[in-house]
Amino acid sequence: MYSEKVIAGFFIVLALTINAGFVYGDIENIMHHSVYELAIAIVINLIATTMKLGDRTQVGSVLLATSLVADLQLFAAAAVWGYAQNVLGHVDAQMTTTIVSLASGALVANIVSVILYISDTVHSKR
Amino acid sequence: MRQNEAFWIVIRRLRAPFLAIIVTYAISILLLTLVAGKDNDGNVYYLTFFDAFYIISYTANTIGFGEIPYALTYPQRLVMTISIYLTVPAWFYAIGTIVGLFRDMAFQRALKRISFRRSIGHINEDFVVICGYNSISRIMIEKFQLYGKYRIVVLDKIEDKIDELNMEGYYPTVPALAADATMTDVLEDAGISSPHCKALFVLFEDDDINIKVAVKAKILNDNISIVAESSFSAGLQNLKDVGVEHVIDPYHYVATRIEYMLNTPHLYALLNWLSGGNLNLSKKTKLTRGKYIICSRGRLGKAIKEVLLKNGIEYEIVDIFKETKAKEGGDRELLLKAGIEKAECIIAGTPDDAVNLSAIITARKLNPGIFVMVRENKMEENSVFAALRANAVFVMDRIVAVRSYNIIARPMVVRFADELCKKSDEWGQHIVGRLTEIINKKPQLKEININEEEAYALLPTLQKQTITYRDLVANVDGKGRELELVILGLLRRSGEFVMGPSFSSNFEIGDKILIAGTDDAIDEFEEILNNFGKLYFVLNKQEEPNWLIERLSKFIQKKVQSPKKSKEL
Repeated sequence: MYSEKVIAGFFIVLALTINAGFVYGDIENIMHHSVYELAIAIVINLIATTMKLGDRTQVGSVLLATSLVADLQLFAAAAVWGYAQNVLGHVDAQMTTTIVSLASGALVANIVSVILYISDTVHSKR
Repeated sequence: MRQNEAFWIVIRRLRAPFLAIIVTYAISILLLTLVAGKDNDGNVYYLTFFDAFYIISYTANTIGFGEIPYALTYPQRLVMTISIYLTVPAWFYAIGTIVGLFRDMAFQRALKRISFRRSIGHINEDFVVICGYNSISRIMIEKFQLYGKYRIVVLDKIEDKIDELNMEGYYPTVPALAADATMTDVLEDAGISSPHCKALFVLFEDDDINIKVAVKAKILNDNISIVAESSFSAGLQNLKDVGVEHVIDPYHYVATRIEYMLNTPHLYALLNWLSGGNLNLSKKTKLTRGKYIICSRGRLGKAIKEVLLKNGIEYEIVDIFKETKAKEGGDRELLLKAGIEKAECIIAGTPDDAVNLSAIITARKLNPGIFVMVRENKMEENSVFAALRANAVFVMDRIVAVRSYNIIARPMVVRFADELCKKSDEWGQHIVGRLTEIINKKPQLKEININEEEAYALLPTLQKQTITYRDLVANVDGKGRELELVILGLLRRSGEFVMGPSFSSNFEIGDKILIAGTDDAIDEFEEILNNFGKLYFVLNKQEEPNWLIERLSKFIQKKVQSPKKSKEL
């Protein structure tokens, strides 16, 4: 058992679960989606990305790519939210839909990431 | 792979600073959004994530814009204090590490390697790879740059030498990498397996390294010519077995030259000129038989000994290098013991220039009329050796460099030099006489292929009529002016090599000819081969009839005649 593997696996799965938690709920209702959950999802995703840095195997590169996609989607969601809140003054249903759908995209990337991670683990001989 | 490894390890090392920034930022931002503040009217106000991110962003890197959007409350200030002590050190740590990584030698080497590989990939012309940057390769680079047909790539283990090369500012640029040429991946990065790579030069002193590089290069690309240095007969055979076509043995060349000097001085003059020396045969290069003193124990001494034995010349070997280094005796006693006063010739061939110089000066004091041959190791000492006025100077580096260059760039010259041994001294005297008589100054060498590219006009004309050398060289202006050039060699398409072909030989398609002449004469000769008008003039001693001018003159004649007719009417 390598502590590095444990930590990396922990953050990769946590990025997925928190992301899923944020997306879960009515897509038009902002009350169903916590801003803190989005913030933590971003942080955990960033940490997961950093953990994947410097792994030069084929799987490692694809994992890094999926993680970067998730980061990008979540940044976009946060940016839309910040724009709605601070520039438009309130987050309406349309904005909420945009935020949640962007986060859903990140969720898909995270799912791919976890599947890759699991398949890599299953394939490894030890 | 090892260099790439360094790159990835460096990227991995970015993990810690990135994590430090992410975690400290996350904690600080989260705390700031959770603590209640007040707006100007005293209402409770929570900082949004955007506000918090903004504040932390300018706080962490110590810019510090102040308290916005409203003055902070005391609980908020408490959180800010914690945030400052969390994020500012994390920020500095990250910046320090990242800057440090870019200054990391391994990382820089990896970056240089990547840019080297890229620049090799961008070369769309033929190129040659030279292993080792030293005085030999410097001569070769200069010659190849002048020649212009090949780009050059250089490998050297030592970083300083590569820096030195980059300082030279060669144009076209010479991509160079500080890496061990015996590594397969280094050779691959240098483009050995590229179809553009035509030749590889491995001219290290160490035979083992030479063979190591040659074997690997041969496996990577079977089509390139490899030029390798070797001074052992075993190593030579070894290299040949591996498939290295061109093995250079500098000591053997020196010994061969001494043999030429002994038996065929005119051929020696030719050989010396072909490898970059002067053509003139003066009194001081006349070698007489007598007692020879060889101041060299190593490979050079052995090669010379064989030549002298073969020619039945008495000799004495003095290990002047070892004895003077060990402070066991001065060269004066050593030379006296060897019988310098009655000797005919001294050959100072140690690998140390200072020892050679001192031996020569002492020898001359003891025997002023002695014939002096000296080995010059370092090109930097050129002026000292010139001032010495030795009868023969063997510059080892130049011998190797010129030979290597000729093998790839001027194969006809190499062939000519190798075939010289089959010729008599009278023949050599004839050629040297012709050369000095016609050209007088230092003649230039040129190889010309009789093909579409290098004899554009000659080729179609050859299909109609036979043309001899005399037709194109003697009497080029119809008044008997002869081009100042000599045709030294001819390589027929069948592979037959003719030394000094006669004036009545025919040009044939697919031939290669080696000519020596003044620059002007060579230029004019090339013009004759490539310009239809010029070729016609030289062959027929009159201008080629021009279709347009003919029509015009006929037209004008008619015009001149027709008014007369009308008047008559």
